[in-house]
Amino acid sequence: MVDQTYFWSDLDENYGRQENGDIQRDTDVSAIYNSLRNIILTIQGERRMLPTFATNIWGLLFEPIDEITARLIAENLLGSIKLWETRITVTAFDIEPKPDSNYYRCRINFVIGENENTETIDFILTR
Amino acid sequence: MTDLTPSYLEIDFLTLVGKFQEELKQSDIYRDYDFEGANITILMELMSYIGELTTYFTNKIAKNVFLETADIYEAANRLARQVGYEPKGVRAARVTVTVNVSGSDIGVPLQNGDILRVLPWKEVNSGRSDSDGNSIIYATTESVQVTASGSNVTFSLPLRQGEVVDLENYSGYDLIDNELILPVDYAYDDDLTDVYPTIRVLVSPSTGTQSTQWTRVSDFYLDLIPQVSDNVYMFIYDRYRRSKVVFNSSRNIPGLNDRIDVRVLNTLGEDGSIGSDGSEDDAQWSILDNQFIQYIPFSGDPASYINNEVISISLSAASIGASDPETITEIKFNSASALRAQFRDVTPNDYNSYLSSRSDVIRAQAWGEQDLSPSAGDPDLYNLVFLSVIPQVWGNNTIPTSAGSFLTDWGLTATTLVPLRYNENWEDELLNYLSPRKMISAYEIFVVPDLVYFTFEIGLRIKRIYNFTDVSQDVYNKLIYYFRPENQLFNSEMDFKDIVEYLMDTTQVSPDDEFTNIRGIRNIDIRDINSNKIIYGNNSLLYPRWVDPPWIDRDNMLRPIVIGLNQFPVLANDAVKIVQEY
Repeated sequence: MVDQTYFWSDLDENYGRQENGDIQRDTDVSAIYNSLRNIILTIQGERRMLPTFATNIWGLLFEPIDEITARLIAENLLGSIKLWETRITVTAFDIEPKPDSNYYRCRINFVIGENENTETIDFILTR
Repeated sequence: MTDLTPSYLEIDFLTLVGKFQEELKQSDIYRDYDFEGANITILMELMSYIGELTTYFTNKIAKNVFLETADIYEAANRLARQVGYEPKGVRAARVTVTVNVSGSDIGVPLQNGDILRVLPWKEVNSGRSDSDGNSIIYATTESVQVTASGSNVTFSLPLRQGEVVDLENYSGYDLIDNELILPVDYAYDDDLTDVYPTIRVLVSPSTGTQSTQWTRVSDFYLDLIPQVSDNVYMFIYDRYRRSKVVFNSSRNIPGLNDRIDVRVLNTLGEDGSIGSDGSEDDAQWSILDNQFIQYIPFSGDPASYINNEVISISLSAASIGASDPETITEIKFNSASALRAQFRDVTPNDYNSYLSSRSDVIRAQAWGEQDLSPSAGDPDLYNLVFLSVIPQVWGNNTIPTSAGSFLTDWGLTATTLVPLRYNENWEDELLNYLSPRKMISAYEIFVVPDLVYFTFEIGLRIKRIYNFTDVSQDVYNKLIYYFRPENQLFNSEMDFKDIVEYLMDTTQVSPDDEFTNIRGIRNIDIRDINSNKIIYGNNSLLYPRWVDPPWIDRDNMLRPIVIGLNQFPVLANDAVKIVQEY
């Protein structure tokens, strides 16, 4: 019988165990976070048999940390998320270059299609 | 529960991913199996990738366990050797040049009884170059001696293509498992009995100064002849495409401190083939060694060397026998043939495959009493083995030919070759080549092949989007390929409907031409076939003849014919006519 308490379920990346011995599940927004993390952290070409998967921002992180590069990174990330994560709609993307500290601070607001909940993910992009 | 076991032909990445997805659909534990970013998808893909790799390598290993399916040279070489076949390396072209000596020195004539001895391993430049611009060098590999019977001496001299390379000062310590691995691959020489050896191995015992020339054998156990000493070696082209001199403990092995000197020919292989002197402009032979011919005067004066300026060399026939190392396909074919023959020529197939494995023979045919007199028998034919071969190169060194022609019904003149006889030396060479496998009672006779020329008038209807010139050119090329000697047989039944089917079949391609415009044929029609031979009735004893009786007199069917035991089909391609039909 189908469990209706969640829409999405994925393996937990730490392979923790549930009480019944099965591998831990990440459900709904956690599953989507997993997916977004994989899309953002994978370098295009890195994935076997699916070389177009993910983003092409790795090279951009070695460019001067400024508004122009930040825009390019944002466009790249948004395009990839739209292509590879169809469960969500991105409503806002903030990217703030921090040249003195050598990183970009990023925030993505998105709506999950199934339940229309708005979620936010914050992360830092650095070399 | 789905069946997770796909067919072994389908164990590729996508099939495995599909199977995982199918399985996960049945459960709601992990639902993200079809999102590329999900962890479960990455895990599935990883397992599928490993599955595909494992399948690929398992398949590769399984294929290379059997000679029929082997696709790695190393495996093909080893498997062939297991069935007793020695894969062959690069083979050097050979020629027989005519040497004229007009004195012992400028102005000093030869006397009756003077002895001239051409020394082995002396190089001559053919005056030709290969496609890379390298000079094509030939060398003597055996000593030839003649006695002068006048002031001018002319004699034949066998030469082998290649530069002489000395690999010296090896010792028993250099042998690894009784094998001496040479730096690169050298001229292999597939015929151990001819007058053109390509390797010499000298072994000097540490206890004495006299070196001994060891004998090359084809097999350590087959060549156990009481008169031959056990100082023997094999020259092998190994699975890593290297030349090796191999000794065996069942015979003699050089001692640890014995000196081993190897002399080999560094050959160009097929690139070393040359035409006769008349066929190439300004090709002048020149001797590269001042001590080429030794001169031993009849008068008892001390021996000296003939001045090279009074020696002239000429070549009246093209070289033969050059070949690059055997490919995997050739090894498969030749080893299967060797296995069938089991080192004895008993059946026609044994003769055919053994002769065809020579680099200078394309096709061979053997027949005897059973073929010539199948029902009644004929005592005159007892023990006779008739042989006919198609050489790689026609000419004075193999089978000289004369030119012929016939006029076709559509007004074109077809030129033909008429084989005349076997060159005596080549015939002897072939007989010597056959002798180790000869049945003791068999008497082998070479019969000159009879070439049956065919030419065609073909009508073509082509598809609208194709160009007639392109399509007809591909039909013409495919017809030429069909009639290449490698693709034809002696004594074959020729069904012309097969030729039409072959031309129309787009899956039938040559290794270097896919005949892509064949797809443009809407309809093909053989309007007329002409031959240089009379086709006899089906009840005739003569060949070529119709296979079946005619339905009615002068019928217009493409009826099959059969050609004779020594007859070989050839295309008179200069008289093929292809016309467009609408």
